[in-house]
Amino acid sequence: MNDREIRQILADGLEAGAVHQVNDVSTREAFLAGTRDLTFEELEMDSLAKMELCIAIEVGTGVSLAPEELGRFASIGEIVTMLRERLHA
Amino acid sequence: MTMPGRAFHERLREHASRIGDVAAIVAPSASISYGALEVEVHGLASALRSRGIGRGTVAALTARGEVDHLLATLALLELGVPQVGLASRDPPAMRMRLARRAGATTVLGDRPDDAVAGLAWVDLGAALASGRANPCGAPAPEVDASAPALYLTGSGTTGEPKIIRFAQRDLALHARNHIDFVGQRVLRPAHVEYNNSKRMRLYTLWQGGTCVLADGSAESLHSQCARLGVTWLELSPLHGADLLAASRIEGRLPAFTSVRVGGARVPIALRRAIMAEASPRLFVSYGTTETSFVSVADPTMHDDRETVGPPAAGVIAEVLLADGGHAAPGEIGEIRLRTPGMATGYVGDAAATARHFRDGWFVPGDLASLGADGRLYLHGRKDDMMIMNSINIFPAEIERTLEAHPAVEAAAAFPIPSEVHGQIPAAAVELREGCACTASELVGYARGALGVRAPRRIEILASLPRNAQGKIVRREIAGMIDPRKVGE
Repeated sequence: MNDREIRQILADGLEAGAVHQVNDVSTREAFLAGTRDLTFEELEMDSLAKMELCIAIEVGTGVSLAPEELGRFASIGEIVTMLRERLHA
Repeated sequence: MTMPGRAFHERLREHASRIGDVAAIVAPSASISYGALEVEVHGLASALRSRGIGRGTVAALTARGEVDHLLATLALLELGVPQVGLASRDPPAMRMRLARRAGATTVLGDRPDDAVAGLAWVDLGAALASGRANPCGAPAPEVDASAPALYLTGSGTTGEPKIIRFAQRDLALHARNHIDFVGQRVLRPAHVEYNNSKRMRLYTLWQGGTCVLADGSAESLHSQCARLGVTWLELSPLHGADLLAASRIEGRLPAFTSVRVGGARVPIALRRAIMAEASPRLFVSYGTTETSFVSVADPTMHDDRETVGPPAAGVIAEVLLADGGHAAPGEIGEIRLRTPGMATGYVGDAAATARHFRDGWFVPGDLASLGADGRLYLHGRKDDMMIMNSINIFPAEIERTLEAHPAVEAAAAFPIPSEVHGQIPAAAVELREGCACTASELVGYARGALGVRAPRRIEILASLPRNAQGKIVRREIAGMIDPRKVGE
């Protein structure tokens, strides 16, 4: 699985959690291309959105992540890095 | 209409004297009036007695011919001999296991290789010939209508099938509680070796209706209905789909033919298509082997909620919540049932009996709601209900939603196990012929309709796995796909 595929899973997970920033086409495309990161601070995710992101990660990659563990990451880009390392380990 | 508590042959005798000229059985090979049926059954019963079948016998019946099978069933009932069907299609090891579990002592079959090691063997063909040669025979023995008479097996989609025992009195109560077949000509294409087909034929005969038997005929359903004056056509959802396909070539069924579909969920798309293209008189029923008939939805009741109709007279249906309290109208819970003549347990399976028979109720494990309109709505099996982060998710709701999509022919929801979330809902679909759609589109569509209860993954399959009765086997789907696979 390459970076873009990982980013696609995360973007879909954010969309499922009604995180409106990813509905902006230019923001989404930049994130998918890896030229823009999305910080948790700017995303303002509620508990339902965090649950959806974790479910998307688990269904798409097989990596289990509890919503409370998201606090370890400052941005979605850091999750991309973690997933890349886990999947290619 | 009927007097339950009597033995079957007494009922047949009553029909013979009252409606002796009415056809009891219509088949390609024979048409038998009630008058002739009573004579033929009695002759066969006498022939079986002379071959040692009687008190102390438990018969295992294998008969491929539908008429012969039904005659043998009725003759064993006349003798008060408990019987279990050993289907000819089942492998020998399975037949042997079932015969032993039911305590069978004798195989009554129509081929020598139907014999089971260690059990006595009686040739049904020879007994039929002997009975016809000497139709009077000895008087029928006294039969206790409350004694075990018929052993049926559950659907057996998982593990060893459960065995359910009924007395003749129970069968009479089922027949009285069932749809009124008096004066009707009833065709159920599924072979009499299938439990529910056998019961339906017995109910029809108890009531005085006419059993129309396809008996291996290649004639189309449409032609049989028209030629033989079939007024009730009884189908599984799988047969319902076949009927629909045939109707697109042969047109509608005759105006006098009503269709009843039951035995599994009947999606609203199939209901509407059958009503539009095969017969507007479509009935959809709910029942279980343990309880027999529970409810039926008539043609005015079909809508997106897919009701199975109000509980029939004499049936008590309650919906309970997890805490044991009664569900409010429209609230989903587990259904429990009391019906006339229902089973009281499973033969030789105390654990399953304790699980499903509680305080005089049968608990089938179905999720249901009772609407304010008094009608029953089914929401899948309790075992199939998913719990994701404490959210109850019902497969039937997902399936109904996906099947409302114009590209989806059929859908089946199943869980992806998760240590974090419990069960993540997923689904597999079959697309309609000529329709194209991606899994991502369906995921988005389902999310728009179901929100948090939507499947997070949808797999498009060429065909969903089904068992012989046409029920989709969800457990097989989960094993067919890789839930971690990424992409379309």
